[in-house]
Amino acid sequence: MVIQAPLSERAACWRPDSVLTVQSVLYGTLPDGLEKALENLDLSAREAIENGLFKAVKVAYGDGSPTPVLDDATLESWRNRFKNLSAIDYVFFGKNLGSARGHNTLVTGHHQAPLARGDGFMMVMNPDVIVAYDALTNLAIRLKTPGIGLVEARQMPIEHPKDYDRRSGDTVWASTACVMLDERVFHQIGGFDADTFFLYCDDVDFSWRMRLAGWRVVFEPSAVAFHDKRLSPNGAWMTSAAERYYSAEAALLLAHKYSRPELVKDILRYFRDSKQDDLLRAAKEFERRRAAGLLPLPLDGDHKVAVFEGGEYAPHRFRL
Amino acid sequence: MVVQSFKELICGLPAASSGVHLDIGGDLIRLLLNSGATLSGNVVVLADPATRTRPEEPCVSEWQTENLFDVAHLLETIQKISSSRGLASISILQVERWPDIEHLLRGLRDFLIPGTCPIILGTRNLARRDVAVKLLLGCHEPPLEPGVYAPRFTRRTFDALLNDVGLLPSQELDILKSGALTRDESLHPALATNTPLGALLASLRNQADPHAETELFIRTCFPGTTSARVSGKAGDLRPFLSVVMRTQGQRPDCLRDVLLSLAAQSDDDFELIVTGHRVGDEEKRVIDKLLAATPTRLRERTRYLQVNTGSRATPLNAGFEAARGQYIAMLDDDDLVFGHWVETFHDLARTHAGQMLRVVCVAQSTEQIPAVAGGSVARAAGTFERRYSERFDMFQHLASNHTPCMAIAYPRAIFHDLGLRFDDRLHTTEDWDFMMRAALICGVASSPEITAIYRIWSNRTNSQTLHDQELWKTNEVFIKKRLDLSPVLLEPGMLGKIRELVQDSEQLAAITRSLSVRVPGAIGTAHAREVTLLSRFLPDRGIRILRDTVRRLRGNRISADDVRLLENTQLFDADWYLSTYPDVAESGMDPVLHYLRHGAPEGRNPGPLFNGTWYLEQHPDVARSGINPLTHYLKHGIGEGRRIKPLEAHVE
Repeated sequence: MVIQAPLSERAACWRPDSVLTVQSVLYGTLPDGLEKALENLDLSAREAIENGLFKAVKVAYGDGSPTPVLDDATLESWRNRFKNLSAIDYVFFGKNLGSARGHNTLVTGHHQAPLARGDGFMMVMNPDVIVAYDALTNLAIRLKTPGIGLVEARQMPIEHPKDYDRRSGDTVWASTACVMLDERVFHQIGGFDADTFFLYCDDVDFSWRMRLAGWRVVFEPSAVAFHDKRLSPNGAWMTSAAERYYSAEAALLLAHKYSRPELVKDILRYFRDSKQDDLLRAAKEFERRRAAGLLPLPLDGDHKVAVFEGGEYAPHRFRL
Repeated sequence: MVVQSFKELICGLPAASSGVHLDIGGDLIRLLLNSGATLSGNVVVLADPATRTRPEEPCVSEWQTENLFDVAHLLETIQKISSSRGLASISILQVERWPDIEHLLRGLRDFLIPGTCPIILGTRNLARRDVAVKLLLGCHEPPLEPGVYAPRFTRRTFDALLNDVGLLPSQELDILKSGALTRDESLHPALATNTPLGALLASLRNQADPHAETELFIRTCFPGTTSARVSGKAGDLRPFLSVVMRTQGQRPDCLRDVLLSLAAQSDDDFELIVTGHRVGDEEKRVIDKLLAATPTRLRERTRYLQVNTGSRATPLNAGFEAARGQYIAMLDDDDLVFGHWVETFHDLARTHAGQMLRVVCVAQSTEQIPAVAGGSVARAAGTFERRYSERFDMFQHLASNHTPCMAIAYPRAIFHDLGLRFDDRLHTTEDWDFMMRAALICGVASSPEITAIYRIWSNRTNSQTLHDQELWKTNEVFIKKRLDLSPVLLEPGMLGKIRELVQDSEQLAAITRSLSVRVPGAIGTAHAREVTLLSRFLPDRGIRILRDTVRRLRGNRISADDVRLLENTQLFDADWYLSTYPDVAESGMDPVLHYLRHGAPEGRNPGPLFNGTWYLEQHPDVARSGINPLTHYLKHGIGEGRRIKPLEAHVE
């Protein structure tokens, strides 16, 4: 695709005749949860289309589960029921591609079902996220501002604690639990770094590369998305085993990729001293990649974009 | 139309020229004699002459012995009388006498339709307090008086009977029980109202409906059309939960958020009743738009009620009245719930039938900021704070409220059968008042699951900021006084707790008596405040405050509860404290302990979000008590709606 002028200038002209593709990667996702999410997405799509923001809104699912979670009959009933969604596409990957590669595949197409898309807009969303009726509208309104590359919705009931500017919405990175962006920008920065990140923190890296390319990443609190996360009875944030492992792995990879060699050493030392299985495995995997020359090339040597602060990747308003 | 006496009811009957007054059963005469009322015209009685009260009653033209229980024959007899002599009225004043009264009444209704002859129907009240108590205790006996039959109907079932057979009341008269209890009854602890049991039963019964002492229900009826009633067991058709949400339509962004959290519930077995309170046209449009924007599966289970009068309690009563759910919960339009809020209530209900259901609520500081499309939006300003206990403690709640309103679901019977209502006179704490009255009846089952968020707004109004401290205090006093005057039930274990409190109180009184001798000379002016505190609170003020004060006076450690409280709140910022007060950092002392022991008395602040000096200036009663301002706010101030303010440098 040839871009005639700087993308930041072209984005000043909103393309209301474009299609918005809302894409999610599935893994063992229950159809009931998807149906509830689609029901609300359908309403939000109607609102956005009626507000003249998009010509159409469609859904694309990429399924990395061992066996397909959706059958043709279910998909057909949803297509008939959710009239404000112009299409609900579904591709079964046949293997667990993870989040980063799964989303890249949905954008660029799959060998079994080419879904390559053109000049539209896209949302990256967790499949069970339930958007408010005006979420797509409010994301799009913010995205219309020239220079903004990525807009993140506010999650409920547990709002992400990272800081954002009250007026401009600028933030250090955006969680891809629910974000909207221009597909051309996705292509410009090369999509997600699927070779480095499998699951978790692929969105941190995506946001930082977007900012290195000159785009702003913003948080839009009036675009609300319900993400059914819960607290333990003692009020703690509950994490899964996968989250703990992949987050640990990503901590090392991010520190390396964003030119923090001393931080890499500190993290490795901490992981080894911890004696915790997840952390030891993450350290081992990092060393394996390093020995095999599989680590990404470092970026942000001037430390302009990446933030490593108290174990977080942005200043936080509070700690969960 | 409600009439006040049988005489008044009789006066409303048609003139004698239209025919005879036909009394079936013979009870009319007894009532006429007792009330002093007179009927113009002749009375024909269909009954066994043995039921006559006197050998001769001037107004009675004749007695006819009939087989009153052969309905077909009885109707035929009535028709003959009507044809030959005309009917001015018909009366049946003990409908409970007939096993098949419905058949008889339907026949009479059909017979009466073309004319204007009224039918006076009466029944004894099965749910009269003394009758109901005796039934409860298994000592009910059938009436000994001849011609008096055992009651079968309550007010509710009597009205339902009339509706079902198509007889519509034009006049209503409820006659109170005449005569005192028998001697045996007056000595019975369950019937005498000056015993705890008797007082409790009377209180519950009086609350359920106004007919605890009514002996007889009498209705003057005319034929009409029946209105449909739900057949079968209504309970089978009910959703598990009714969610009653108050709104004034002034916080559309918050209303959108809470509607989204309801649309996302993992358990859909609930209905939503949105009560718009004093809502103007513009606000109504906003509410309508937001409700229309909910997904179909929620919209189909949503109703809107407009309430234009009353206090904050009024829309709650309206919502609870309209609720069809087995349980009823409240949700304000600026609260949030987790995805398993309904599910957790449902799980609790399966194992704790009949009790109130409680979940855990966390608090979160939240601010309001401008939104991109206009209006405003919420921004979380702090972490989730565990301010409310995991389990419901009755004693704790008697002192102040520790349960936000959306953390409780009530069994519907509390409102619909036992007659509890939110008190319209209360403009604040109406939920605490209702909760305590209900909890003392049905107890509370607690789940440790955190399923709700109470948003504490730092820069917008909520019910706590809308009303001044004076009103909060007045309401609190009123609520406590009413509870104190009520007979209450004690759950198993509560007596033991009371015994512990009494023993603790006696022990502390002994300690403080000995300390009051030693303190002035031994400790000096640095602890003069604690001495004043002690003398103020002796002998019957908060046991925990006394304990902590005594420990401090003796040089013991600070309350572990206070330490935990400060360690878990965002209002205490240890890093900020140490960087702001380098002398504390140099000393190596734990910042929480320093603040509790020295910092607060010295006027130091715990963090940038809480201005302790300002708090004490705004709340002089707190300053006088000597309590640490931050622990006061966390333990009491939040529940009392006291305002806080961040440090000036922190405000942007």
